[in-house]
Amino acid sequence: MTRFGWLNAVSLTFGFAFLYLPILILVIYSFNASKLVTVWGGFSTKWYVALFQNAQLLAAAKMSLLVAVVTATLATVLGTLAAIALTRARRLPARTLFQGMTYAPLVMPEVITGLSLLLLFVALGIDRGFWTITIAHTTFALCFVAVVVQSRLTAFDMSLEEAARDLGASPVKAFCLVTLPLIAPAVAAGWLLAFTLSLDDLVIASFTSGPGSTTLPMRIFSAVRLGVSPEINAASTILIAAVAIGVMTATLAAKWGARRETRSQ
Amino acid sequence: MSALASPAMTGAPLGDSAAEPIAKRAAEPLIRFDHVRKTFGGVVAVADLSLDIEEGEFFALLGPSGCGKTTLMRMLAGFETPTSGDIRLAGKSLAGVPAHKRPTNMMFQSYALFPHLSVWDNIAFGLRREGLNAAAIRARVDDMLSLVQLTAQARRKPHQLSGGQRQRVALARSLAKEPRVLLLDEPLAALDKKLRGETQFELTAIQRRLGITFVIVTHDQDEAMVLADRIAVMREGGIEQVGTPAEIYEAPVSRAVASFIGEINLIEGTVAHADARETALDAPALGTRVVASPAGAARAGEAGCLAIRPEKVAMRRVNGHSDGPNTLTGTVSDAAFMGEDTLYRVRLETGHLIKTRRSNTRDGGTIRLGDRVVLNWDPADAVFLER
Repeated sequence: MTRFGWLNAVSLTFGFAFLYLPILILVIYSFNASKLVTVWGGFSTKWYVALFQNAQLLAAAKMSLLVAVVTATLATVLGTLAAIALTRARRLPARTLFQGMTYAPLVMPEVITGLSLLLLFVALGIDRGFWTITIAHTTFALCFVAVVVQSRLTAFDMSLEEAARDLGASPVKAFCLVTLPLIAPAVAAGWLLAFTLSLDDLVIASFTSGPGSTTLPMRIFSAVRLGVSPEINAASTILIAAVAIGVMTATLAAKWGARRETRSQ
Repeated sequence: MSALASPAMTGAPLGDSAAEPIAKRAAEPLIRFDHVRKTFGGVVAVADLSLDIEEGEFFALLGPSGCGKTTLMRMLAGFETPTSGDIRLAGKSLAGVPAHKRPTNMMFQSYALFPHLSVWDNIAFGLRREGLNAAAIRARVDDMLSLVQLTAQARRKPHQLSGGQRQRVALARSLAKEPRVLLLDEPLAALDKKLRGETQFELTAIQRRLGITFVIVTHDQDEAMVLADRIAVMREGGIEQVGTPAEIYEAPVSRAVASFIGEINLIEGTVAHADARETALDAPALGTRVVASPAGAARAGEAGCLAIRPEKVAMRRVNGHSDGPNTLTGTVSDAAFMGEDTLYRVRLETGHLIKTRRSNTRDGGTIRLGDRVVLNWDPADAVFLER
């Protein structure tokens, strides 16, 4: 291992400052007593109080949470199924193609995903609202779930499931009783990842939302255009906290699952 | 399945539908592979193989890796489907019967213990699938735990056990449902040598006690010899020879079997004459004629091979003139001390090496490297091989 020299220290400081300074400033100003965004007027939590009295923002937050929970659940089911199919179907023709097609939305620009979905919903004559946002979020979130679950499944010892079948469990039972409990940490990590991805999405939600279905990032973005209010800072801080907790839990869940598996071998 | 509750279960038939017509059909063995063939995308794993395994046998499928023995076992367990041919168990075809409905249980090479379940729950897994009541399951699991002497470890998780203990959990789990056939895939491969020796005797003892048919897959000839009542030596998807360990060792039918099992001298040559009494072979490598006396179907002029085990070749120091059939002279070239005996290699005048084994007892005097020796063997101990 190389020595942790001054060059590393400087580049690390700059790197993290670049990433987190804006967020840090936002968090600090959410506790600002002054209404002016650029002037520090002492510590206060009044904007958090105001936030919880702002019906519009609360409605948007509720919508965002609902979309995120439904999205995460749908994406986890579909993504896990996709991961199983891709891992198990070794002799599937054009398997690499299918694999690539599952992963492509990960790198697809959100604007394109959003626009294409909008065109689809318009063409099908579907009224835009809660369900269109949820469907749109599920489409891209399931790829992330598939990636997380698949990395776990490739390391999975198939003889465990065979042993369960050998002992009298039908293929479905064997999967539910043996495979699912063992890949549960990865599935949980996938759920949390999908949840946070959905919670902080602005672009795709903007394309697929309709009247009366505004998500929190959309509400924040439109409020900022009329001038930054400290209330928005407070709302953003809560959102950051939610996403950070989600991502950290997902990472820990995946790590814990991997460790349990290595220990048992 | 009430039979499960009773500890005395010698050959008790399962209440499974596949096991019903066992009503003593003497003609049909317990397991019959009938012209079974299995290919994986053009690669032949098992080629037109027929084999019978009798009830209550400890049967070994022996062969090098890639010979198709594991595929054969997996077809019996229901994890692979034969490309053609039929497998019958107690007279009933297993075609279309899924793995979870077959009265066979398997002990996996990796043991495949469920890491999220305790030892107790691992053993109870199969019993729970049958919908037995809690008391019956408890009695049966406790029986199994005491059979493999793991009662004290019942609440542990697999990762808290030693390799030998895991092996015993795997055995208990696969025996818990009292299968008609227990399949063992390289059951001792992961154990160290000393533990393997002990476990071998434990396995045979358990098999005798329960009377269940055991089918073991192994690449280890010693393991097959010690454990099995009968062995099928496999090679390239087919069966070379089926027989008791003694038959396979003493009377191999081909060079492949002879050289796969233990040490052996293979002497190539041309048949000089053959009759009902003996087969004589002109062996250019030895510069002389050698004789095997078990009757073969060889004819004069054919190419063939004489096989003789090193322990059947007698060796003594040269004193005076020696003559007679199967007598060779040479120089001791090297010696490998193996404990109870020593394996010598003797170089003949032609340069050919003959292996001989000599027990390390006092009688017979010592033989040193470079000594001139006379080798000879009884024609009855040699085998003539055409293949």
